[in-house]
Amino acid sequence: MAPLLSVTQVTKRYVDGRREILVLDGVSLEIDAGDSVGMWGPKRSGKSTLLRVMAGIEQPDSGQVCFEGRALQAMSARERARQLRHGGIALVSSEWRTQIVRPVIELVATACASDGTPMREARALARKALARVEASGCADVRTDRLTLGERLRTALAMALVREPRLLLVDEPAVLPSPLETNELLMLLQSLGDEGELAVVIASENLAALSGATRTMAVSSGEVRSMDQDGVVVRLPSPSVSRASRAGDALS
Amino acid sequence: MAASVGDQAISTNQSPLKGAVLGLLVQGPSYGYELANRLERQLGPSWSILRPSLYRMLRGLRREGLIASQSPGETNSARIVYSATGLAEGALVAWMDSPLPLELAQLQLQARMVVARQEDLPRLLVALNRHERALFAKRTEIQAGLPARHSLRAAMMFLVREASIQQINGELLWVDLSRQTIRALLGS
Repeated sequence: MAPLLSVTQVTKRYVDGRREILVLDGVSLEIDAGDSVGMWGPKRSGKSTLLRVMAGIEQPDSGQVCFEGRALQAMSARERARQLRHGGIALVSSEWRTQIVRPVIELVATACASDGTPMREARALARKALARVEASGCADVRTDRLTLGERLRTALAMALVREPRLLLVDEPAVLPSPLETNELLMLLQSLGDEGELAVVIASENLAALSGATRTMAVSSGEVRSMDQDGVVVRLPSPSVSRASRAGDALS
Repeated sequence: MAASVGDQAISTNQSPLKGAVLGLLVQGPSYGYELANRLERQLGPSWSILRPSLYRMLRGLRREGLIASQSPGETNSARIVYSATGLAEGALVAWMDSPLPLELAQLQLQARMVVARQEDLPRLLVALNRHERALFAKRTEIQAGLPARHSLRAAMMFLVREASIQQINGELLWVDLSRQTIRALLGS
């Protein structure tokens, strides 16, 4: 059976002034349904880029991302958006914020209604999603009055209300209070424990990975599996430094 | 003799510095005072090198046949001069390759870095990658669930767990910095 999501030999470059930075250097990995994956990496290690590429929001320079065996790049932008919106891939970033000033419940319901669900029904589903992220209390709070923690939970509810099969979370360990962060991490862990939803959490804080059954490290453009028999592979590309290959050969 | 190299390996349970002392002597003969000074200069203030333990390491290395010493009478020097034997090189490489006990890994890696030559860099990369894995494995020990309530007990448990996590996180960042630096040295 094809994995839920596969990333094959993905390369992504950024331009930094006169310099080119290889953010992703021939990265390959696979995520299965129900997987719970933790991605550790320092700041600016390429975690966010990798998640955006996995979500189909950003296009790789080369390589391929397949969701349920279908290449994201082969889809039209519209098809990709639809694929991502419902029953697909959801990316939640701690940097998410909205300009729309409305009660949270309306925002979450609108996210649900975008596939044609009647608004009445969408509101009921939105309440459920808010309960699932332990944010029922925010339902009637206006979006411009949310704390960071509530904003993150709202973003999570907006993602979950569309019943994704793959949830990508970018740096959840950012809340001002450590205990609040801890609560959010436990919530994410419980989402990962539920059924078929695959959850990938990327963080520079090892604590955010504590619920993961598989872990990987992202840095210097590569993804290294930290499990004995992880499915993450890194196929060396021509630009890979001689050092890492010499190192692999010795290990 | 290549066959005896394995027997001459420096145990990682011994002081992390023993290999470093051998590494310095492979670079050239030296005497106790100078060895201590070089180690102190290169390892920085967080290490303290006690003279008695340095001489104990030198005696150990000599007993294992990895170094030889010449007493003042045999040379012009007023001190005992130590030099590496033919077995030293193999033992040094074996030491660079030897597994790292988690508790001592960072010290061991620092000791290896101090005497690393260009040809040792790939070995250091392997050791760094192994250490990274070990650090991740340790993560599973500290992931015990916490009651997510703001109680005194939960808060204290959180702090205790956080101490190990922050320590591992810091070590992971150092491993990453080391790997990037070594790759830059090897790559260009």
